[in-house]
Amino acid sequence: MIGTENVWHFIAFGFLPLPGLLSRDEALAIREELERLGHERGLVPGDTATKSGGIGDVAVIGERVRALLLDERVYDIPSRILGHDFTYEGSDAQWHVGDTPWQGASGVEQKPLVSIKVSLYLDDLDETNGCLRIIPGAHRNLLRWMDSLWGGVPDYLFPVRNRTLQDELPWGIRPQEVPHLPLPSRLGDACVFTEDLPHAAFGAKGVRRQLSFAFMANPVAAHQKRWVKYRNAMGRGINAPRAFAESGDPRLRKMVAPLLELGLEPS
Amino acid sequence: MLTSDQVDLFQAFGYLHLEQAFDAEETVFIQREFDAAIRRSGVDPGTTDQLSADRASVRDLRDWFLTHELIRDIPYKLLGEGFQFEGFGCGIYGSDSPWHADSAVIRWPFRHIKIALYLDPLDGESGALRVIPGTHRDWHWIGDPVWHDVPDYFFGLKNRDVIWQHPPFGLAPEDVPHQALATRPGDVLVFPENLLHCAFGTKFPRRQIAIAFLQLPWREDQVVHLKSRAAVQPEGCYQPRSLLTHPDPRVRAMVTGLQELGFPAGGPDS
Repeated sequence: MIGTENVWHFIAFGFLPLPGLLSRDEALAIREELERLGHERGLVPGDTATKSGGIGDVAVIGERVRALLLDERVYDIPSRILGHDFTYEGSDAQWHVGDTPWQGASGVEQKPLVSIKVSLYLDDLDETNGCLRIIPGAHRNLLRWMDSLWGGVPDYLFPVRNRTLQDELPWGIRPQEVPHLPLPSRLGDACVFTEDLPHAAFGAKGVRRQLSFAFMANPVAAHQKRWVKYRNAMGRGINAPRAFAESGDPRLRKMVAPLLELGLEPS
Repeated sequence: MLTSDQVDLFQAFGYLHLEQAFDAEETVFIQREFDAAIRRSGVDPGTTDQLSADRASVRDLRDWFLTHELIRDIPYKLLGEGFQFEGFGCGIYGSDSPWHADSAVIRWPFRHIKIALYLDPLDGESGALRVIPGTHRDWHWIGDPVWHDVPDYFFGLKNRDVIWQHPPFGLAPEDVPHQALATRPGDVLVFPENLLHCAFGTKFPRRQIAIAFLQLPWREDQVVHLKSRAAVQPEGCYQPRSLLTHPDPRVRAMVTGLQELGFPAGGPDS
């Protein structure tokens, strides 16, 4: 269970490391399930692959993953940060190949509600082989939704928010040299962060496995509802899985109830 | 010389790390003069406290820095024409420094920067400066009042008296997310005092040279702030008499701005 001080850490820095959230054996079991699901669908990149692969809404098809979503160690996180009526935004398994350029909130589009990602890293990673790198405290969009005063404050980090600028040299330095905090992780560690936080990975060797759960605040304002409907209509990530909507577990039904109320069709 | 990219980088993150800004010959000279100033001051170089050489002992080294093109260029690019000398110190840091950033309570109404040189190789485990990039909100506030009212989530770290009593975010101070700025002799660090910074893991006394500059105060509130500070802490901001008569007009200009505002010159040995 995360505590008040953990929530303040997240608000101040835009991320919250949770080392050893899962035991190594638990993490290995999750990894095994993801590998099986990925291989069945031909989505796991081989050793010589140059493109990343992934499975969307993996909590719908993976029993262990779904059980983890409902595990208090995970379920409690969005509840504490986004409120008890948090909404499911997605879940995905990723097999990352190569570096990930700096990105954070697109640099242009501002998400109209607070969202978080709970990511589990399923390999031992450090700065030399592609661990997550972040710029702490740079989660401007999330802060803006915490307090509208942030809306008028200049953002000096545009060059590292928009991944289409990845070939440029921000501030005349190589992307790897942009001031950052590396977050080394071991199998079973988790990290809560917001996509608004500029993040990247460099020095990748081989495939990096990652499981992520995404949650957002209950969309209650009209413009938030419009945005969710738009994203759903465009096929951009927000769905109400039928398996959740019709689940016998009330917590899964509750996670997608706001989406169904908006008229999203279970999929 | 600083580039516009470096000025933008400073604006975004609140610090600059200029690697090997001084060449080997200059670095040896700086180390030798620093050690001589410490000896003249009678400071124990092995202290476990934090001690500084006296002003008279560091005068020659101070003047060497103030006539150096790079050292002049940094405040010129970051603080603008008319920047003023705020202070120079040669210190031995034999202990850790807790997290701090100005005072957390009093906001300086003008910008000021510190240029720091560490004369020994340091990393995050041996007392290198640690910073939280981007926390220099008061720097932004002075240039853009929109920063005045946005919430500050780092208050608990800014006041060094609070840190040891209440672990920030439930963490030991040394575990607060930060960037450790590993340096080698010859490197230069530039940061405003309102960037959160600290040093932990002291293994041996750190030799540090600090040169501070401030933006020329011109608004009434800026002048009042500086005068009130000078009244209660005269050593915090002074115009050394020797600089007022320095043969280099560019060095004199670093102190005449404050003199014209009515700040008294320091003593004859300063």
